[in-house]
Parts: sequence; structure tokens; C-alpha cells
Amino acid sequence: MFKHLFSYSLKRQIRQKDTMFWTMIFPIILATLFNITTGNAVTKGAVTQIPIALVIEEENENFMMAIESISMMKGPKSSGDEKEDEIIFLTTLTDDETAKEMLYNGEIGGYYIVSASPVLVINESGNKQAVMKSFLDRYEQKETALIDILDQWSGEADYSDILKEKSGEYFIDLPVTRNSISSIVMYYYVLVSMACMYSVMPGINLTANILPNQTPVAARNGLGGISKFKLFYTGLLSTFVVQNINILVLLAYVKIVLSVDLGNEIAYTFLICMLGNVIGICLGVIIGGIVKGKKSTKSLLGIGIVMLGSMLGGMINLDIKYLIQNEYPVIAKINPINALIDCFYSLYYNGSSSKLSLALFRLFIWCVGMFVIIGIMLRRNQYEYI
Amino acid sequence: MTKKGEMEMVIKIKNLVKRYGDLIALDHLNLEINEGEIFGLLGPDGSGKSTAIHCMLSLLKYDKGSVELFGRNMTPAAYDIKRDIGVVMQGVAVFNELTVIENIDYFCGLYIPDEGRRNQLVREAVDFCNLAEFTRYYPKKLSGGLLRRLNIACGIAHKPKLIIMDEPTVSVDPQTRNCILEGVLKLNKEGATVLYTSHYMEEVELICTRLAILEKGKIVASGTSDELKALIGAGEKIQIEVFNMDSKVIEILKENVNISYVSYTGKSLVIKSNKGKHNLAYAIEILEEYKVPFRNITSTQPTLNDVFLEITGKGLRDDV
Repeated sequence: MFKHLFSYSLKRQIRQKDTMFWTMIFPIILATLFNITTGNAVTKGAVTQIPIALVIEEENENFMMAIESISMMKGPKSSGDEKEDEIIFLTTLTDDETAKEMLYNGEIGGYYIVSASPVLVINESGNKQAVMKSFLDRYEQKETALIDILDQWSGEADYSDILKEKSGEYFIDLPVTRNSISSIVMYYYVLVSMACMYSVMPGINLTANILPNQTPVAARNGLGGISKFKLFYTGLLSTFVVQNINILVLLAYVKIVLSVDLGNEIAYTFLICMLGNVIGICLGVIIGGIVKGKKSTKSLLGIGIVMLGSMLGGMINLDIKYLIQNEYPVIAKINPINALIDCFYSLYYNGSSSKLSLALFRLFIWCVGMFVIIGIMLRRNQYEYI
Repeated sequence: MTKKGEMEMVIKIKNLVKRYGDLIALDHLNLEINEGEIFGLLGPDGSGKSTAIHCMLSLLKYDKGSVELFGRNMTPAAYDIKRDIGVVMQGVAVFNELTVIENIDYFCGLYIPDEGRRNQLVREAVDFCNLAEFTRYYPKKLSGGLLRRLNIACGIAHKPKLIIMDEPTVSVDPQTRNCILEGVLKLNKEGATVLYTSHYMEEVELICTRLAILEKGKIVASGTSDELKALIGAGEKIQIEVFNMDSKVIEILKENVNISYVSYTGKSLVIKSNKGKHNLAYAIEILEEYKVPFRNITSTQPTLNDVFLEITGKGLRDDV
């Protein structure tokens, strides 16, 4: 019986063109467009060192330290350092005139005028300039937090240890930790999170097929000699399988075709995606079960929620994510896409650390919560209206 | 347990009450259907036919009453009972992503786990509904009539003992309707008990062994078609175009005990009778005997609509 239900559910999933569009094709299109607009800024190996110049107009110890932390990573790597292909700044300290000349000669990608508010000078837009701009933006965003951290750095302790220690306190997603192109890669992670959450669509379809008050086909299913729970879990499993394949295709496309470096923790990345898929499907089931109206209305609502969640999670601008996180923490907490992105952040910056475990635990709690709601929803056997 | 030779009661509904807020959809509905019957539930749109079926199948909550199917109490989790029931819904209930054969196989699989047996049943259902040419088609490619046939195939493929058909002929062409009605008779011959709802009185009259008329959630009359017609006391109506008829002939016609009413206006002679089988022959014999020239004879029997009109004061369908 399981084989029968599962195989037909799988067939239906694969043949649902609208769902396949949103869950597989649309994220691939977005990733491609994003790759075109960012000019392959995160293509692995394409940019490894960016020559820059610093013109000191005014003392800014914090900014200099941040630059230095990036520059510290250049040169011979320690034997234990496996992340050797990080992007680094090859910094030249010079005056304004020389910097300008170097810039016009193409010797540097741009230069920073160091002051209380550092300024970036560039004469063209490209990968290197995007990275430099991103670095400056992130520095400005996190300056306050950075000051606090750097205050505690005596110069003897390992800088990365201090960052790790303070990470929980300040949401340290600082660009100076592992990868200076982080903000661009992060957009890809937001995209992957969004793709996971598009599982909301097959989730809505699942409800439409098993709750007898939804569609004639669900009523017919309900009259069969099989319990609603059996129908649900086989449907859930097949949806989960299809969505995971979709995500694998997306990850492969981003990593292989677009050559974006998504880090080395592929197993963890996929684990996060799987949890994201479960949350997406469950959200769809809940929307399908609770919201009254046509399936198309529910689908629109589902897509709207995912798009809004993605936007608040930093899809359009990562600053929005920080703003929401700092100013409206409740919204950030109830946004499942935010929880997913936080997982990717933790993985990307800290690897398989305790912070990642905490973020994964949060995702797990999301899943459990949603299953509880669905369980209550499915327990209902008869309906007032059909 | 029923004794051998004794008919089992397949459906027994007692005092079923279903309310939608202030609206009473089913008002103390009582219904008993025996094994082997084709029972017609007749009523206008909104009379409660579909609600009765949904309550019967435990899809809808009801406020009061009891439903027994095959002598057992029907509940949402009564899967053993559900396995003996086939339902053909009013709306087409198939998956657009599955082909004709896959749809039938999927729904049959909800009742028949054995693949070999299922394959055989699916083939039989395909043949039964004349869908052999369309097995690889997706529902979106099928015409309305073919979709209805697919809908029926999905409901009956597992060879249920009880088949519930909720207005299966709505919006279908006459050929498909005939095909469906013949199918119902065939299923009944094969041993299935059928509950058939419709607001088309002609088809109910044609195939049902017994029927009930539902109005505002209540059964206002039930019995065989003849019993219902007898209930309202209306009989045959004969209309004859006659020329120069003497009033004496009218009096002679009225002398027949079976004739209840005779009128002659213009050239039209109208004769109504409550009983008797040879009233038309009698009228023609009298007209010939008294050399009254006549032509254009029509004889009409009362319809279920007349019954419905008589009982409820309104027509069964708006267009009638």
C-alpha cells in the first residue's frame, strides 16, 4: 500500500508544472540573474587577491585593524588552515596622489581614504570593487559591535578567538572572519533558503488532496479504505524527496555551473536545506488547512509569505536582515527563512560549531511546532461544511 | 444476521438532522435501502441530497440521528465499511497529473492492495466505462462526457457492494447520459446496491426500483414510481381534436367509472382518468360509434414532476 501511495504521489509531484516552476526553475533563474548582476564576484578562484591602497587622512584604529585582519590572512598559510583560497586585500599604504595614479594605472582595484568615516575610491565597477564596497558596508554596519570587541583585544590574544567568543553577543557575521566576499555568497544562501521555503506550494497541494473539505478529489481520498494520516505521511515523504532533489539540483547548479563557493560543509548545507524543506512543506500544509478559499488564493498567499520572509531575511538587501534582527527581533524570530539563513550564516562563518548546533536546534523546534499544528489539524475527522 | 434469502438492509438512516447555522439542511431524515435496490433520491437543487450523502459517508458532522451501513454504525474511521462503498461524486474527482488508467489504478488501490487483482479490476472498469481508447490521456484532454465516465470508473473499479452516485449525469450529453444509466443498471445486475441522486425525474423513473422525494431536507414521499403517482390520484390525460361533437357524447363518456373529467372547448376534447388501462380505446370507440370526426390523439401519463408539483406546490426543475 505504501508503495502504491508513494509512487503515485511522486508522479503527481513531478508532473505539477506550477509547483516545479516555483521550487526548481524559479530559484535557478534567480541564481543565474543574480550571478549575472554580481558579475561572478564569488566565482571560486576567480578573485583571490585584491590589491588595494590605503590613504590615511585621519587615524581610525578600528578600520585599520579590520583591514589588517583581512591582510593578515595573506602570505604563507599555517599547516592547519584549510581555507587557503580566501579573498584578501594586498594593501599598500600610500598618499592620495600615488593612490590615484595606481588606480588609473590599474595597479589597484580601489583605495580607501581612512578617516573617522572611511571612504572608498574606485574608477570602475567590477568584482574587486564589489568586494571592496561590500567590505566597507559591512564594516560600517558592524562598527559599534567591532569597537567593543576590539577594545578587548590586547594584541596578544588570537583575534579570531575573541570574535568566536563574542559572536553570540553581537550576532557576529563580520566580514573579517573568514571570507571578505561573504555578503555576496550570503545572497545565494538567502536564495537557497527561499527555494527551500517554496516547498510551501507542494504543501498546499498535499492538503488539497487529503482534507475532504478541500476538493472533490480529497473527499474521494477520504472515502477510501485508508486513514488520512497514512495519506499524509506518504504524501509528505514524496514531497520531501522531490523537494530535496530540487534543492540538490539548485545547489549543484550554483556550485558547478555558476562556480559559487558555498563552502566545504556540503553535508551540513544539505541538512539545513532538508530541515528548510520540512518547514516549507509544513507551512504549506498549515496554510492549506487553515486558510479558507480557493487553492490559487492559498498558493498566492504561500508565495507572498515566502517572498516577504525572504525579503526580510535579506534577499534584496542584507541590511534589512540586520535591521529587522536588531529593531524588530520578534519578526526575525517568527520568520522561518531567517532561522534558515542564520543556520547558513553559522555554518559559513563558524563551520560545524556550537552556534550552528543552536541554529539547527531552532530549525528543529520550528519543525516540531509545525508538526504539532498539523497533527491537531489532521485529527479532525468530520467537517461542518464541504 | 440476515437469514438466507432475506434481503439485507444496506443503508439505514434514522432521524438525521443537519443544520448549517439557522438553516436546517436535513430535517429528521429517515431512509432505508435494501440490498440489490437502485434507490433514487429525487429533489431540486438545495433540497439536501448531497448533504444527506456526505452525512451518510461520515464526511460531514450531523447534529442528530444515526447512520448504519451494512448493519454497522458508520464512523469516519470505519475503513472496513468504506471498502465496500464506491462513490461517484457530483464534481469530477480525479487527479489532473495522472492519466486515465493511472487515476483508476490509484483510486482502486485505496481499496485493493493486491496488484494483480487490481490490474484486472482496472481493466474491467476501463471496459465498463468505454475508456479503452483514452487510457493514456490526461483528464484535461478529455471531453466533459469522458471525464464523467472516468469519474465513474474511479468510483466503481473496486467492485463495491454499495455505489452512491451523486448526480452523475449533470452537464452531460444525451449519449453519455444513456451510457451512464445503462452502466448503473449493469452494476445493479452484477449485484451492487445503488443510491442514485438526481433532479432529472426521467432518469430516476427509468432506472430506480424505489425512490424518495426530498424537499427542504425532508422526505415528502417515497415508494415505487407507480405508488407515488397513485398517491396524488392523477392518471392518464387524453386530448383529441374533434369536430361537431354532440353534448350527448360527452355525457356518455362521463358514464365510464374510470373517467373523472371530460371537457370540450373549441375543437379540443380533454379526458382525464384516475385508473383503468383502456380508457383511450373506450373514448375512440364512443367517438366512432357516434360518428364524431376526430384526429390528433395524445395520451399522457402523469410524471414525477406532477407528483412533486402536487406534493410541494412547485416544479422539480425550474425549466419544467
